[in-house]
Amino acid sequence: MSVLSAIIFLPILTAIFLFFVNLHITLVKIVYMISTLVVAYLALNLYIDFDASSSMQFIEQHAWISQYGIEYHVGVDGVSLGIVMMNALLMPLVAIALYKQRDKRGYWINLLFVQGGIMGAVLALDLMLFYLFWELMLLPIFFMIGLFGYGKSNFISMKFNMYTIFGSLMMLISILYMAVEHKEQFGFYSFALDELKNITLTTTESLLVFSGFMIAFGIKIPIFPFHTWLSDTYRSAPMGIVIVMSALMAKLGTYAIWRFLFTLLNETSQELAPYFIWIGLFGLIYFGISAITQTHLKRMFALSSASHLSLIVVGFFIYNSYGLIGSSYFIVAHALSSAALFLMVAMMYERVQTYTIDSLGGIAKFAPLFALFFAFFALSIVGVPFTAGFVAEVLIILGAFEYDTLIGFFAATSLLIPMLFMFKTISKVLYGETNERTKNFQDLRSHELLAVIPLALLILAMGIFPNYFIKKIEPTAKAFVDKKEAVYHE
Amino acid sequence: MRDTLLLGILLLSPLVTASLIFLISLFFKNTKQTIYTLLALAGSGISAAIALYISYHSYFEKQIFSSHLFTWLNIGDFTIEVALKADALSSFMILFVAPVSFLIHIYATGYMSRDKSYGRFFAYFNLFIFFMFLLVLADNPIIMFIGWEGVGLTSYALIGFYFGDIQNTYAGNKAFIVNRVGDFGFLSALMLLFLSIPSGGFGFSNIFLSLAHIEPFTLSLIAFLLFVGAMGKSAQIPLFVWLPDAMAGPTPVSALIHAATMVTAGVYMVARFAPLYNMTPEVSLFIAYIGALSALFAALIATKQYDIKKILAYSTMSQLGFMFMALGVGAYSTALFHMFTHAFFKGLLFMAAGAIIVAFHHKQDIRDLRGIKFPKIFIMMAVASLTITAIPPFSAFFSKDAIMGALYASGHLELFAMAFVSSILTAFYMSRLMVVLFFNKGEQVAKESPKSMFYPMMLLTLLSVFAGLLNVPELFGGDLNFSHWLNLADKIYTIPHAKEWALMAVNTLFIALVIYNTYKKYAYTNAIIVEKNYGWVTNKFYIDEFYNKTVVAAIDKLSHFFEKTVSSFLIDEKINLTALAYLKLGKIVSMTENGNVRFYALYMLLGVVSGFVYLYWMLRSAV
Repeated sequence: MSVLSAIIFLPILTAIFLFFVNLHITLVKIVYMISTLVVAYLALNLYIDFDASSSMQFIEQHAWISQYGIEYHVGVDGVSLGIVMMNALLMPLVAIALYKQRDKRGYWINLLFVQGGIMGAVLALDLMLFYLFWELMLLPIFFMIGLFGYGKSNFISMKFNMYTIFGSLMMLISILYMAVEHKEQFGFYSFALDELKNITLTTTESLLVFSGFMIAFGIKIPIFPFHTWLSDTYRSAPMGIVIVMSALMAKLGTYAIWRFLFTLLNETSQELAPYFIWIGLFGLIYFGISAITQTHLKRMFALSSASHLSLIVVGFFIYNSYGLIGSSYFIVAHALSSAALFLMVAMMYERVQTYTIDSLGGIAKFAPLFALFFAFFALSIVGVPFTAGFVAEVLIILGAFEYDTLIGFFAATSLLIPMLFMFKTISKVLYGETNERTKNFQDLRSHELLAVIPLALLILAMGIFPNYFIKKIEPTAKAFVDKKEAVYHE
Repeated sequence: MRDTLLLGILLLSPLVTASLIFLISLFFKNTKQTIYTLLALAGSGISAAIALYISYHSYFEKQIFSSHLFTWLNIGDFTIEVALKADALSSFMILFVAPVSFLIHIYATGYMSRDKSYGRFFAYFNLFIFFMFLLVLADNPIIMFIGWEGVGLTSYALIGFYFGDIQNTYAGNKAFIVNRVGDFGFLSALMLLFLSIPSGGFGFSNIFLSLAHIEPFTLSLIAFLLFVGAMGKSAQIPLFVWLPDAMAGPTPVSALIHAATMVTAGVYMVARFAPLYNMTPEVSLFIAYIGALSALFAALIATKQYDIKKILAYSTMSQLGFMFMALGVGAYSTALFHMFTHAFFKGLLFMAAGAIIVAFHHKQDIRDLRGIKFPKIFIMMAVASLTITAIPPFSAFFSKDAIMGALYASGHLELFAMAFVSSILTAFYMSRLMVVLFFNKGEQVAKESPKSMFYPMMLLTLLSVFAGLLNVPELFGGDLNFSHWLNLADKIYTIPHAKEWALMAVNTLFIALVIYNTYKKYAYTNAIIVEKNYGWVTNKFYIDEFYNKTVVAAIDKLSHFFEKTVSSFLIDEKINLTALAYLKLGKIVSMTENGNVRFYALYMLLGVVSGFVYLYWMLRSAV
């Protein structure tokens, strides 16, 4: 069994084990920690062994359901490597930061399921396998919101699931359609990414197949106008899941566009690219401006995430190496920043029992460490220099200018828009007079520091020495851009 | 190797000390102030010493110091090196930035000595110098942009330093947001520039070599967008609104960041891109007009202000306008020379203001400070005031007069006229400030300022007086050493000596007259009290209110509209309705399953009939 399979199945098996063996909650947490730390260790080794001069590697391929050509086929390249690393890194950190707050077994079991599901979806190179993992990571979310959520959690959980399952079904239809087409054109079924890209489809067919995939991915990201599940779900979901959704799952949607749509339907994607660039730019501005008047911290950061994700979509659709590397880098950078910021919000909630921005204030006076990290992570979302987000934004903006000057200007508004709500939030949360709620605000405890310091250091390192990290993405980008050139020259 | 060591230490000593101070203040609550003081002064002192060394060698031996630290990014053609280079222009910048920073550091150890957040203050302060050095020493515009944003960020942190009052942090927010509007332009310009030049690196020298390849429209666009960045940082119309509010920060911050160094970054940037601006005369002229308008506008507002720091803030904006006028007509080194003298006298004015504020229990309104007795501060402040009004032989006389001369010689007499009026207004508001403060009946007597505040001011006083000698025009037998050193692509303007004498004489005469009249009006009278303190000028032409009513309110409205109308009503409600419709449809369909056997028999019958019909059609078509 290769390292990739270990990374995928260790969390899932651990989760099943914990589900059937009724351990004490402390032991559950310990097993969770061990499992996630082993995954993190494996992922770190993967990162070190990852050959920075080639694209897809660590490929593992076994026949699975041979009569339909379904295979177990996984592999990692420069773009997916980032998401794998983030998934492996964030899961133990979430537990370190929040282990005191959550004493339900289901919470930790579900998180393990999610981790395995995301790993599988990121690494899968077979469409059926991908679909399986894609669904696998949704179920735990459904349970977690229903069981541990706030507010009208049942309604919201249902709504979220209806939305995503609707999308998934559309995708399933597209996948099956392509497999059948493959059978008709080549005589055998196949779900392999490499083989399905060879089939020829008419314009209408490819548009329909494209839409099927795009609805699933668009809902997951979300792009405008599929976003209305977003802010309620974030508001209601427990923090562990919010972090997973904003830092990892949403990114998976953008990643899947690139991995599957751009591979399977390259020409259609390129033809439709201008529309999605505009949708992305519109989303960037729309979500950003929507966030300004939010009064609930989680809702505001939900919209803030959506705004940046739209920018990532733009980066992928501008179809050049700056855009691709910028977006891949942004996936990682934003995963770090948003996870860290949501962790800070969770810690804050534990202390003040509120998410309402207006009822906070003056925290910096008694909790300088909390204030420092909160402000730092908020600024890293805004993309100030020396943080990873800055590098990513500069690259995407550069790519956008290369694509078209006007689109470049619109992409550059990402310098302005997140700032409008982030600075107001920093002021209202950290500064000003203290009040009843915040006057006894306890500063960060050591286990909380342990969770946020690695994130902060990584954000800084990725902002100051980006070249070291980007080297691993570059061959993938080069292969991608060469492929695009090939399409043009045909 | 030597270069790397020098530049590296120059750059990193403020950063390292800032980090140390940060860590100590976060984790060791009861650290003595002395430790912070030592670290802060060591950080800025070391870099000041190295800066002087570098400028010395640059000035006398024409040496260029350069060092390549590491590769920041390398994607295909896109290579950004973290490289530092102290050519003449950068050496000139650090020549005043580093020592002035050091002096204001010493001053701040006195000014901030009773503050609980002493450590935090110096952590930010040293971090600021680090970014400022990065900005002026960067060898390519991307790294320069990082420094540029960095100084904005530390400025934000320092404006909101007294965060107990949320209005202060709002002032910081405003500063950063307005600056970022400028940065939007700056970054866009850099992207366009990068994509327009053929490969070969993004260092300044390579950029300037490639300018000829860029088509004129793009070039003008780049030049304009770069200047948008400068407008934000250097508080020019229309992005100036943050500067007056920035006075919420501690006074050493106002002296260092919002007078002597950071706000001049825009001037530096335009001068750095001088080869570009020489190719786009229409953008240059635009710069000159913006500068002239800003100078006039700010000077006008300053005449009706009462807060001592706000008067100085508007004065800074006005002086920056003078520099941009000079830049706009291509007199780059003249503009830079004014920036050089301005750093000393404006730093000094703010420090004096700070000394007064500390001595008189944080009163800042000049109407409350009438007739104070503060002899030493008075002398220094008087020197600084005479310098800013350009009275010979103080330093700004040389620098401002050179600007006026260049404006006159450039043939743009309207610019010259605006500059002339601004300079008259400058004389008026400065003497108004001085006369109200010191030439009135009053009982308030100050304690002596601490030595740590006094000596840096002394030094700056001397510099204000004598710095002009470094660039004496030919008229007085000088040979414009500075301009030769900087060696920028200046447009050379020569006007007959007779005319130059006449200009100078008229200018000085007018200024003297204004000072005399102001003295007559305000000295030992209650003119300042009875003065009309309402209307357009006092209220800064309602620009803030205008921005609030238009831009800010519009964004808020749009946000509500997006969230409430579009997202909730137009999209979400429709989707929920669809779900509801399905529910209803389900209910209707479920009525068929009513448990009534007769109905099921009916369904069976229907099924059988339709089966037969289908079969019939099949068979018919088969035949």
